Amino acid sequence: MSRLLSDPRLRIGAVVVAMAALAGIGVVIHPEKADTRAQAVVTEPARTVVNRTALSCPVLSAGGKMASVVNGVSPTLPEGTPTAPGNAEPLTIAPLPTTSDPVGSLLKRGTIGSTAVVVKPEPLSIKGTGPLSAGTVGTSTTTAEEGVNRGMASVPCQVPGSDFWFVGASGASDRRDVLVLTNLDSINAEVNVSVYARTGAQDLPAARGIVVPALGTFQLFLKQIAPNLRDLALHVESTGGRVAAAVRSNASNGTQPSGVDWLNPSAAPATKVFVPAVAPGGGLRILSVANPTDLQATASLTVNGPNGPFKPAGLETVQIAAGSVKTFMLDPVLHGDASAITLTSDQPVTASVRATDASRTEFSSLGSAEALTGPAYLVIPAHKQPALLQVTAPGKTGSVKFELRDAVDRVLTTRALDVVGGATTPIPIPAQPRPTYLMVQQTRGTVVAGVTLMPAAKPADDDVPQVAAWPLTTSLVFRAQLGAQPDVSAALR
Amino acid sequence: MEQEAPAGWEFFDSVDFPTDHIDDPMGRPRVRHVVTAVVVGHEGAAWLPRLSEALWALNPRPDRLIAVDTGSTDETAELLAAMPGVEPVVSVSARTGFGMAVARGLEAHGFAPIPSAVGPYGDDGHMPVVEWLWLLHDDCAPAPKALEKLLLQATMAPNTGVWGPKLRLWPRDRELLEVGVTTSLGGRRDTGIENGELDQGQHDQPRNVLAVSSAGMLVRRDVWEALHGFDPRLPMFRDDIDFGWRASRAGYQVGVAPDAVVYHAQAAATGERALAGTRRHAYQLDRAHAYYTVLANAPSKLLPLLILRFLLGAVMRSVWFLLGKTPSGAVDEWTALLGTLLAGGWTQARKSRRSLDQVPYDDIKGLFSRSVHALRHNLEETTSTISERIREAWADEPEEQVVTTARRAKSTARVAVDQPRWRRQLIRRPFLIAWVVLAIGAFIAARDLIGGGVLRSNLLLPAQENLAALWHAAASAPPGVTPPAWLAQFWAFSTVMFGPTGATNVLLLGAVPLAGLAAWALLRAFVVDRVARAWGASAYGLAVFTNGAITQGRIGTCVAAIVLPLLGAAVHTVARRRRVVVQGSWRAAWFAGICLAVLFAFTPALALLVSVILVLGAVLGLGWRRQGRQLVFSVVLGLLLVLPWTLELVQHPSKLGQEAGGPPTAAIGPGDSLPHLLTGTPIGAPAPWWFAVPLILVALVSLLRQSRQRYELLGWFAALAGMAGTLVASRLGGGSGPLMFLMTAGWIITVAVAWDSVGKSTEIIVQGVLGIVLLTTVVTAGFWLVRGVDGPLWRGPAQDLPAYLVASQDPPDNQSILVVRKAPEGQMRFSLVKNGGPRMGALEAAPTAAQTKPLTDVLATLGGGGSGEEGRQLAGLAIDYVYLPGPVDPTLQSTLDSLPGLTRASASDGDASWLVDRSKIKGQTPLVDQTHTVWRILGLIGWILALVFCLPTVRRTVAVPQGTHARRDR
Repeated sequence: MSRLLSDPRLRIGAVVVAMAALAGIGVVIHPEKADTRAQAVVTEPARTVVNRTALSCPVLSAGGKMASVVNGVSPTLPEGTPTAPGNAEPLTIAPLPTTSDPVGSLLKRGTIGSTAVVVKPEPLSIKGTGPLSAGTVGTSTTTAEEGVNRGMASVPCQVPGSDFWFVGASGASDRRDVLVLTNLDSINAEVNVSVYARTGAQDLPAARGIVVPALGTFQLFLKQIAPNLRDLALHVESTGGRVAAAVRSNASNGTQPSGVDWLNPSAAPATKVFVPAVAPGGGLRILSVANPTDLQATASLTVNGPNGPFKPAGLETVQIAAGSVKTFMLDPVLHGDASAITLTSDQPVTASVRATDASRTEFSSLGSAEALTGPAYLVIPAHKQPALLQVTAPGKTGSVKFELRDAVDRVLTTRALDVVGGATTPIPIPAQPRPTYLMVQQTRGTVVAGVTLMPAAKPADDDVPQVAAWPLTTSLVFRAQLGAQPDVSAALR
Repeated sequence: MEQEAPAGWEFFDSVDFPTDHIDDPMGRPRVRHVVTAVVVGHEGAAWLPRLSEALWALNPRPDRLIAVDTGSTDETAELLAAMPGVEPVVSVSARTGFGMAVARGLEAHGFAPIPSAVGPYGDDGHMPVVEWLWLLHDDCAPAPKALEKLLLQATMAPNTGVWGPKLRLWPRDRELLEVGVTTSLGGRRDTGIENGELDQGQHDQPRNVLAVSSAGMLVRRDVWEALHGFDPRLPMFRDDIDFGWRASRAGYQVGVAPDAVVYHAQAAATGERALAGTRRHAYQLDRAHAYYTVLANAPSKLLPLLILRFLLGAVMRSVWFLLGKTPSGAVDEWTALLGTLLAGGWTQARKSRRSLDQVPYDDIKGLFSRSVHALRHNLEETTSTISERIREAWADEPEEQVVTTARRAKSTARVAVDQPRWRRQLIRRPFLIAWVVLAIGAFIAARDLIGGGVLRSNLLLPAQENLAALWHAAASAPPGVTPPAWLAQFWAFSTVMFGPTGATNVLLLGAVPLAGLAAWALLRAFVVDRVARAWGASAYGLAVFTNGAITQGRIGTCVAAIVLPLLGAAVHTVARRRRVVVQGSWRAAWFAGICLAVLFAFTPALALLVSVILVLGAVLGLGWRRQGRQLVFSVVLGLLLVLPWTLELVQHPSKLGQEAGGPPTAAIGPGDSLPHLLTGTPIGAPAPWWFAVPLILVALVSLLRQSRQRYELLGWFAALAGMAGTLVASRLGGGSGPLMFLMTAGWIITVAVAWDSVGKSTEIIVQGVLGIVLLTTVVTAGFWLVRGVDGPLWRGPAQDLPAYLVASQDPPDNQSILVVRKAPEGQMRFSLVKNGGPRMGALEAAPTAAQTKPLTDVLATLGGGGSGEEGRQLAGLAIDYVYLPGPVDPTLQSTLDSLPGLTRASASDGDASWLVDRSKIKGQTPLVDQTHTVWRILGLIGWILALVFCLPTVRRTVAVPQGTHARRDR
């Protein structure tokens, strides 16, 4: 070896060959991506195990002969979903004060628990800890044959939070809209409500600094704080404590009451907004779009009809002034089809659709929704007319799986189907004499969904029209919780 | 036997010659001195002729000369007998001490007779007669006037009973040895003379001292008899001090007459003659006698304190000996002390000396040397020992001469002889100039990084606030996590470098000059041409910059760059072939092990590569012989010294691709770029890759040369090994910054060695090639000065939190802050900041997933909207603040805003902060560190052992008094 290397040519040759060989290897093999994460970073995103639930089920104010019920269920979850360890402690349905007795309970996963039907309802909560907490949903439903509350008002019980949007409220004389804030925690909450109207953002001192007492409710009468303002959008923000917000709306046509319902909350403003489940049939379909930003929003509007998407003539592009709410009558373009609306805007906007029956004596309001990312659960109260599950794939073709179970967890219907891109697929749910619960799970693509209930096309004379709409939102259990990772360098810039 | 006087000398019979001619300038009555001289000889044939001569020259001569031979085997007895006017030689056994020998001589012949007061030379009894005893060694030579001057002083100061001369170095040197001697109460013999001090008359005042050396000591007969001569318990060492001390106590003053000069050969002290008539170590004997002298003579009230002081001194000296790998020294120390203390001879001595006490201790207190002096002397001795040993350090075997002396002499000879001296010095030391330029350049390059705050970069976490925090961090980690080894070493460095921040500054900003200095130390071993060496060292220093280690804040590579040449020098010492019987050096092997340990801690990948090369080289190249074993030993030592970390590296090989300092450096490397791989320049380095091309080309060209190919091939081997390592590391997803540095280092060594060989050549091609190399380096240096501050390295606060949050982490609040960062659509990343926030080592010793689970759960719930319980849960985890640095995720912000138990606190612009209500909940933090005390202690022991073994050996130095009478050691 050393003798070989004593020749200068061989020396240089050996060195050059070695370098070339190394370079060749370097060209052939590519570097692996360097792992520059800190040592203790957990590769699996941590997912929370839900072990506590508190839902607020609002009720209508007294008026007329009402039948009010709260149905709740701790749904059967897909295999392998983590639930809290321990014994299955029942969840209670009870009025807010801690001293009050429970009026119902959820004893077993999959079995719907209901309160007794009462005529003088009070705000209820579904609370509890333990394995049953995961995925618990409830629906508060009130029906009345007559009076100001005639019709059906049904709303899913709400998870307390700190940020809610409602679009389509009103302070005008033909409406009596009340923002109901419920505090389920044992500490007072403070809430600011920002109001946006057709004329722009409103400066309403009375809507700021609202204190919601611990385990209590607060009602904000929009007619008082925003008299004669139509088409309001409310942004409810908690600055301390958590609240559940709901907007109760009693409508009248001047002399006769024309229905009652809850305004379902809308998703937070975004540049792409989906309003699912615009009910089929006659009646008004009013789209309200709120632009809470400081800039005028230019939005393009797409209707996702049963046969595919289209842009309604004259409404392809709409302008919404800064801080204002704008409404569009869509019933002429929808032709009574089960549809959904997609809004694409250059500024974050949010929206809702108000749907009435053909006689305009009952209505429902469904806000924009976020796309499903996992199973969504919904308790549907007993309904005499068939309800309609409307699944929309606003983008490419998506697929969903749904399951309808009855009160004792028997599967009534189960189906998996593809939804053509841009189209809305209505799936009828036959009338049920008892409450049922629905599971809708997105399996592919972007999917939004909702359930609507409309009166029969040719109602009997003594029928009270019942219009309702329920949004489907991904259960908290399956919400994309990316979790948190310990990372020492997070503390440094 | 009748003596013949040497030619030219008049011979007078000492009996006939009057000794009363001393004139007292003060006009006092004349005194008749009668002197009896005693010479004790032992194996003194080498010196006795000289003494004989001096005695011939002496004027006046002693009245009687007694010679005692203590069992010499050479012709000492004959030489003694040939001295002028000597009495018959008295022979005693070889074991007889000096004092005893004198006593025997006096017994045999008696004091000189007092000349008759009547007769031709008589004074009729008018003059008082004083009898003297003059003690002489066989290796001393009194100057002709020595006795005259002594007697003159004795006449002038009749109260002084003991006189001593000024001792100078044999034979006629001006070097001072002693002008009187004293002791500290600690037992240290103190002459008050610096080592090598020349006699310039600075000590020429006659004065009272505690004692004088027995060489040339002039004792009045009554004093000698009253004190019964020297203490027979002190056959050597301290006998003179003990005698002087006793004389002082008894009221006889001891004086020194500096006009009287006695030349002394120090035969025993210089080792020309074997010491000691005992089997005990000379050192032990010296200490024992020192203790004895002090214990026997010191006033009783001081005794407890003195014993305590002896114990303390013994402890300190034993530690010193243990550190110096001379444990027998420590044994001597303790046997001397305990033997003396417990044997009890000193108590009897005290009893018998009680009768002497005429002068209270306070009156003679001033004669003792102060302990501070002893301390200062010790310190000077220690430092001189250390520097001397360090000078010897790499020579290891003293007989080995530096091989290149002749070449070195040639290279330095006649450089710029016509220049002024200072300029000539500078021209002869080109590296000095280069280094000063590098040092100044380091300041210029770091111009924007000088100031307050700490150094940080995306690859460098802030250094700990103080040494205590670093000390804690070095061994503390969550259970199941190994604290990184480099923190402990960094702590050790910080202790001498103004704390952790200062150490970071020195290592990062001073990396270029420091690495240059280290490279110079290596190149000195085999590069003779000073210019080549200076170039090599400077280029090596600048390579740290071109590697990007400084601008990116990679402290690991900076440390590796400094340690690598030291390792190279140690390995060179072990592995080179030498013209001595014993090859290799264990001390260098220990040092190489320490260097490897540092490399393993700071740049594991480089350390692994170097270790593999060393082991293979040891087994294949050197064979399993001494040198090979030493190299393998150094690798094993390196692995052992960083021990828990070694296991960590084995368990998690991905950590090999990281280097010390902070966030993972796995992304540092050539990436997919071929030029970067081939030129050893990591992507992100401040200098473009083609800066290295001239160096590589010249390194290739240097292979064309015929001679000294060993070193050039070694350099190329290092470069190629570095390239292979870089390839492997980058292809496996690890960082390869230090490996690429090794490539550059290899080329620099190749070129420096080639330069060394051809530097004197006048061929235009050679000069041109060297010019290219020099030009490249100069351009790189300019680039460094201009772009030195570019890069992610910056100086700023140690934490990016508002001041009140930073302050709240300090005691007594000890609050902890949960910092949460969330990118839109991304995961939350969080860090619990307490005790000063994330500092060096925080990433390696990051909390485990199990530990952070409670926090992760709470935050995950909050990310999902929260359940309202989180405020209490956060309080239960002892979190005081939640901090969201900007850009703040609006959803998370609103969730936290609405969370019960949290209230907004002030935050920097764009950030958000909440105060957690902990008034009702005590809370306990989930992150608890475990301190690995066992590892820490083992590590300390290991490092101290390793350092002791690579330090030079301490030699026991016996401060042999000049007057010690040497005797045969058998």
